[in-house]
Amino acid sequence: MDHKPYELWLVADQPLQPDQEIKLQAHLETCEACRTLQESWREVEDIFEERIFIHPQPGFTERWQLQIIGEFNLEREKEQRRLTWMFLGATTGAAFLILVIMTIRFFATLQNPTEAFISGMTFVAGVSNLTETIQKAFFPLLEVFILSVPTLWWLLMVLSASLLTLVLIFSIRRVIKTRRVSL
Amino acid sequence: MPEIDAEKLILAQKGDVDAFSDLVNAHQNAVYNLCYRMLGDPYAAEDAAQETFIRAYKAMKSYDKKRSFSTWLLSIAAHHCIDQLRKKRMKVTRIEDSPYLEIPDPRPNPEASLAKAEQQLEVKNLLDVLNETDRAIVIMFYWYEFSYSEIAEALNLTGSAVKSRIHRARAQLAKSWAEKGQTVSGLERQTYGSQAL
Repeated sequence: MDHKPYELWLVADQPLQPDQEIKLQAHLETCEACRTLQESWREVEDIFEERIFIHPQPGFTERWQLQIIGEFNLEREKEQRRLTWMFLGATTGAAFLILVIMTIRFFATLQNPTEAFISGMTFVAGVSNLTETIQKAFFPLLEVFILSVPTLWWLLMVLSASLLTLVLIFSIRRVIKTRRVSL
Repeated sequence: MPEIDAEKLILAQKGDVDAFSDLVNAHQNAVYNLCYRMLGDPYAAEDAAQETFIRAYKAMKSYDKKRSFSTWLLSIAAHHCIDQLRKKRMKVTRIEDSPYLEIPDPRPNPEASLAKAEQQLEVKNLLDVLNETDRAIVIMFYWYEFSYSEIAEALNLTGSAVKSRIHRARAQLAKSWAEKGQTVSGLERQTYGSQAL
């Protein structure tokens, strides 16, 4: 026997058509399985209709607030990590680019190491001569300048420079440090 | 369902944690109960309810104010629980072992409390018979008195799909209950039969 339509009618939440009702009642008189099903469904529905709500442990909102703070910190850390990797990537890329340009620029020189060594030494000697010339020209002027400024002024300038360096370090630390979210 | 202050919703949409905390406070019971009925475990329900509110907070900008806030929230919770259930089979926890379980019962009667706990275990066992989506439908229908269209909206289903699923689920629940009853009766008959012999 096909119980399917009767099973659906038994659990329907809307009233049946009169002819469906007659058919169902006739079927229930002869079918014990469907009668059991009808009784079971009534019991299940009684249980469900009590609708007891289970509540969370006290402090649920506070726990949520802690979780959301954790989420904020995690997101900030991720953002910082992303920026760090971007900076490292950009620096590495720039260094690689410079290396490529230098290789192309000095490719001919690198093919002959002796000539490259000689030209390198000539360059160093040239730089050394230039430094000496500059020293000879400006050292007397520098000496006059140093002596003309009073010692107290020098001390004040050194102190100011130290203070500015400390302010700079503190500012950088504040920017880098992970900020905490307060509620 | 609690009434929602429109001003709080606007503030929460702007990312105000305090305003959203008030919404958490107002809806925690509804969301937790749904998660508990879906997952059947108080610890998993706590995690799922917390996750629901975190997801809701992050998605507040996309929340359409024309929609009911509680339906939207319960929709997030139901989808999360369905995903959780699909990911892993939940471990069966005996309801009376649960430290979180607080069934409100005004009578200071341990027998009555035990009966209530046993009834909750029965509810859990009944819901376990259903698949994840059908379970969410039954819970929304009976505990939250959602209409077919509200359930359809919350679970991204069609109204006719909800209707056919709920009928199928009811038949399944009734059969499971009948089988359980028959097994118990059968066992009782066997026990009494052996005693008489």
